[in-house]
Amino acid sequence: MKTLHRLRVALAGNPNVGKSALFNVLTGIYQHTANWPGKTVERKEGFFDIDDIHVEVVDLPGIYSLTVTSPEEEVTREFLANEDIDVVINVVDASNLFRNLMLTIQLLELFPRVILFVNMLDVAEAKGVKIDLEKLSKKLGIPVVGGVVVTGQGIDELKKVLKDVVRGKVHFHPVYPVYGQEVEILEEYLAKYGCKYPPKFAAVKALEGDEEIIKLLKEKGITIPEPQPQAISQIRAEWLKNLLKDVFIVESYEPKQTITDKIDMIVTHPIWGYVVFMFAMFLMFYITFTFGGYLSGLIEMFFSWLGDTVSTFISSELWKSFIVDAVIGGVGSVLTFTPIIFTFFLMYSILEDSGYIARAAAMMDRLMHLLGLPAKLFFPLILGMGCTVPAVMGTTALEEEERKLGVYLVGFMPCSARLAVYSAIVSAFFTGYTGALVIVSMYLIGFFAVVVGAKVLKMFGLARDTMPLVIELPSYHIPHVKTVLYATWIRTKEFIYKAGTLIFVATIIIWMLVNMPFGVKPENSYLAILGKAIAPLFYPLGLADWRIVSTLIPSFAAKEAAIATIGVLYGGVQMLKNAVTVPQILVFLVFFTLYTPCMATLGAIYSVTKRWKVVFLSVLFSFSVAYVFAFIARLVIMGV
Amino acid sequence: MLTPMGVGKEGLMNLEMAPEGFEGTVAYIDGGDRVAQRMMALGIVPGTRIRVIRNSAFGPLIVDIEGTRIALGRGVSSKVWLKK
Repeated sequence: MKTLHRLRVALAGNPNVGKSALFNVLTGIYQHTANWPGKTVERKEGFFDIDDIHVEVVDLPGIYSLTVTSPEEEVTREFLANEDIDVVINVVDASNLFRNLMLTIQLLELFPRVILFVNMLDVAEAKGVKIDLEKLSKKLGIPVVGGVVVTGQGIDELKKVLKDVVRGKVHFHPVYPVYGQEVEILEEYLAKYGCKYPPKFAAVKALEGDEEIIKLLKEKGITIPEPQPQAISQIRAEWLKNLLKDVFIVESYEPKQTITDKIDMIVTHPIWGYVVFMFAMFLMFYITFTFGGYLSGLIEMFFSWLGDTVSTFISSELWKSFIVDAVIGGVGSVLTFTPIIFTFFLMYSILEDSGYIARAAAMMDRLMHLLGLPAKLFFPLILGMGCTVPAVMGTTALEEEERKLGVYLVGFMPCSARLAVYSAIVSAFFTGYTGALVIVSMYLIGFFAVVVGAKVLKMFGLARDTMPLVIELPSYHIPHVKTVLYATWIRTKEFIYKAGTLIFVATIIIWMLVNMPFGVKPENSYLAILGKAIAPLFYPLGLADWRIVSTLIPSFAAKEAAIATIGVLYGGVQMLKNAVTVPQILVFLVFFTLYTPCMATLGAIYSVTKRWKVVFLSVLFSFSVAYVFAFIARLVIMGV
Repeated sequence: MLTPMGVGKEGLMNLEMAPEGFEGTVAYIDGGDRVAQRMMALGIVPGTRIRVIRNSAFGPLIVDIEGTRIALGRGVSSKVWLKK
């Protein structure tokens, strides 16, 4: 089929309205993700064809307003103001029309070529709400299509409207609220003198107290009346209520008890809610680490078989070690993480799409807020006790501001690899309860570092104070299979591509450090040379032995590598006792718990933020925190 | 300024004090910061009807605004003033 026309479309709307589902239904597998410039907000793009029209779609982040209070809103606004697009499809939830259209009005003020897609007509009907779409279209002055994305209803009609847009058969004559004299005067003035935003939009936002626009206008020397955000919102709401009056065909205002209400009786209950929450968490992590872990085991087995098989064909010891340990081992370590990440995202996406995650976040908010942490960071933190890599990947579910905080912090939670190292070392030094106490202390120190770390990051301006809880609890629904699978697949793919390269390269570098120059004794390897070089850095911590310091280097490949390195350098973990004292090993464990996460974690951080700066900062940050904590531990344990 | 029932400021009811099942109209929101902006974006706008679904010692406040469920922290909810 020959493509003759090109159409650039953006999808916009509130969160939880089925926008991503529509994006998936329209574009299928023809989509990719990137970041918005300078942001860690994800930019999803895709394309599809309608007859001879090639349609490019950008899925904008879900937002509630066009006043900038978050990066998501900023991205949407910048995009609509600056980029060359033909039409916006504004997806709205029919069962929640009033709140959704509050955004529509603002969209129209910024960009008048909007097609309204009224999704979830079925949910609205179940609530007893029927909508006269034709009347709504007339009153708003823009095309309106109704449907149910998950069943495919309305998709063909939407495509037809897009076709008509290309043929110039669609007209957009949006109707706007009248905000009063102050807005109008400012609008007229802006129309005369110009502004990067349309005059009406800029005037309304200035009066709504939007900081960016006020600054923009002030720079031009324009005097702005005192902002009245509440009055503007009220005018908009009242205008909208009036507009909607005869758009609802049967507005049963009898508050019908919906399924959502019934489920919420238990799920948000002050006591049962927490029981449900614990159970959901347990299930999520149990399945992630058993099922995902089982698949990981299979992959590991495959790669160790592959290594054994390949090694029989190579005679050179050097090349054998390089191919088997570095190359096959490197690829293997990337792929063994994949099933865990996949399983976690599958579980999380199901819970998220069904509407549960919002409830869980609401229930956890108070405790987390007390600790200065965003509520949704709870999931990654718990996940971090299994493995830091999926924990970092899990921060993608947070809003940008909170995610920034999350990627720096989750690494402090002791993962199962660290637990393995604790167990090995502790068993050499302590017996019975003391050993258990040491291990538990490490977990407490890890958690404490998360809380302190959050404070420090805010102090240095690397993260903002977390927003107090104000979130929508969307209606429960059966998760949309396609949307869940796409979300899961995209995260997994991102990890393999973005994190994979880094993990692979780092594996090879570490292999070289440990094994080169080939054939020399361990104490003469590059690792030892490097270890001796950095050892003085650890003297203030009371760690005098270069060998224990050297174990930190291969632990960067994978934390559990510390055990093997100790084995090589000391001739067995038990021998460690002869060279290192109990106070020293405790300080070492504190440092080991908190310092630079493993390279797979760094790969995950890059995959999530797509910024090397964040990766670099996180290394620096965790190293500093580890150093300070270890130093305090040294003071406490060994005295000054 | 406030009476023990949370009724103050010309007979307005503070949302944090509003019992479960209370229905009223949003009168105004204290402060004009990010949080107030977020609340208004979610539909907690002066003039709209609001119904308190949950308000207990544990857990967040849950309200219904024009058919939308919103969960609010206690601190945030104390910024919202309602009239009958």
